[in-house]
Amino acid sequence: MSMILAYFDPGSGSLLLQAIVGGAAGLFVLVKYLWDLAPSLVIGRKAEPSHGRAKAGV
Amino acid sequence: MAGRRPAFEPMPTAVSFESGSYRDRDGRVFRGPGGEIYRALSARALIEWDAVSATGFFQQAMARGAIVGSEQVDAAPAEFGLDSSWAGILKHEEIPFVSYPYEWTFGMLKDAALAHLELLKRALEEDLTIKDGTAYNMQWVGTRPVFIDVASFERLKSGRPWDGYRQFCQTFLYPLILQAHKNVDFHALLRGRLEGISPSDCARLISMRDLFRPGVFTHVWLHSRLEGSRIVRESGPQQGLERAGFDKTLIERNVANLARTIRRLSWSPAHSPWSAYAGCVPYSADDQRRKASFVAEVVFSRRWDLVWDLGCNTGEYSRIASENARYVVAMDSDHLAVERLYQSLQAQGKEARPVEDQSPGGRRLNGQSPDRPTPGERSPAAERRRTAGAIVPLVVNIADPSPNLGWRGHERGSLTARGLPDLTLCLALVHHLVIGAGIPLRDLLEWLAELGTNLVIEFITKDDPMVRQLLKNRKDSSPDYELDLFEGWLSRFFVVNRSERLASGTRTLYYAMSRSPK
Repeated sequence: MSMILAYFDPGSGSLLLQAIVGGAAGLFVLVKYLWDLAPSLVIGRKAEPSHGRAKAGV
Repeated sequence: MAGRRPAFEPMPTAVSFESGSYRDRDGRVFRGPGGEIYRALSARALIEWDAVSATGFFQQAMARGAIVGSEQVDAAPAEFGLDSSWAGILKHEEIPFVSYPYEWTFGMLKDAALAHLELLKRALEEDLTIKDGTAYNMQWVGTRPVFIDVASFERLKSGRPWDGYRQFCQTFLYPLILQAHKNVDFHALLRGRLEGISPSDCARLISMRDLFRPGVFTHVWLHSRLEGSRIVRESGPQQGLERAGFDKTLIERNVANLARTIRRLSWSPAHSPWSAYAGCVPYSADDQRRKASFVAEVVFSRRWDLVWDLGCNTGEYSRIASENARYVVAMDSDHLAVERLYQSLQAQGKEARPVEDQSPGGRRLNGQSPDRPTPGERSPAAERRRTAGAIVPLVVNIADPSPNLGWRGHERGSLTARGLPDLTLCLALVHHLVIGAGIPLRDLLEWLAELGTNLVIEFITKDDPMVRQLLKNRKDSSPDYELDLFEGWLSRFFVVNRSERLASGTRTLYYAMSRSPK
């Protein structure tokens, strides 16, 4: 595991999955979520830091 | 969510919090001077409690026993020796014997999971949620699952996914999937890591074929792929989903999806080393009757509070014990045998019988009152039904019982740290522990004596067909397994009240009392 993953909250992916299993309504939310995210994914612009829970460590 | 900021406390608090409740800074569990269970609430948690406890959902769930009985007490936190950072106190109904998911059967874990999801579903209808999803928030009263962490209920915040989903997958769904689809016992996995099985570990253990089974592709494979994925890393899903319009409907769909997935999971292996024991045991009918009668005579010699049935198998003797005990913990290392006992108890509706009133004005439970019904008072059958306690079946290997686990080694207590029995049944087990598991006979009897328990124990000599079978193809490395040595050590640690040799001549039953009672 890379150093950066050690600081990353694995629960963040679990939050996103809850939209995926939400059927058509979830798909709409997911598309909108990815659309908002598109600039940082395509251009490589750094997104705002996550406020997710950080794993304990130094 | 950030917890409340603790104040610096120049004086230590007089209360010792339960070590397993450290994660929730807003609600810590502690015991009162008489052993009662209390929960200290922060000001924030008290506001949530006021909102949650006023709902119809919560009151109904508590009334039917799905949520542990809880009430706010009038006393100020300071009266319990708590500092001023605590705002309120709840008193909880006590769970007769605490158990953990790594001791439950497949059916128990499945029923606990469905009970948890049902509570969440009902809570969502009243705009409440459960902030956790861990199996450790469930306990058992007999074969009835009970949700114990009432501080987990809070008002639902708009746009927020279910925070407990990952915990739910790790401690409920993945163990059930691995047991159902791969026939992998989940106990060692859950005992090995209290957080449960991670999505990536579960995904590595399933096959391509399993991806086509209900729920596996999304809840396992996709879940594992999203862990640390770039999309998730480069964004804050919490805020992003809220902006994208995530709402309660999506949580409800997820809960329904999880419940549907879990309902369809089943585990029904044809046999296990012990599941057919009752059908092949070489007892004569007379020996069986005498053995049951010996146990019943001890059971009805006085009232028992907590009975352990070690190596319970079908639970025949647990059922006898339950007729005159407040609570029986039936333990066996064979998962399938315990699962069948659980299903059989469920079918009988044994769980519907409430654990006896424990209030000071209630029935005496300390075993000092003779409990045989007097003639004419009631019929024996009616009296037995009235005084019968519940049975909780657990998967426990006495040669390797659950240890202390987790933070500081005290988050989850060892088997013996959770309550000691006043009667222990140890029938047709000694040869398995001494010859099969290699435990010295003296050590076994010493351990039993340390429980401070009364004991019904059976010794089977090496001439018995079952012991001969055990020794077949095995080097006999148990020279201490002899009747005279057994009786010597038994007398050393216990006062033998009486004994009876069964007609077969190879089996002897003993009723003994520990020389160091608890």
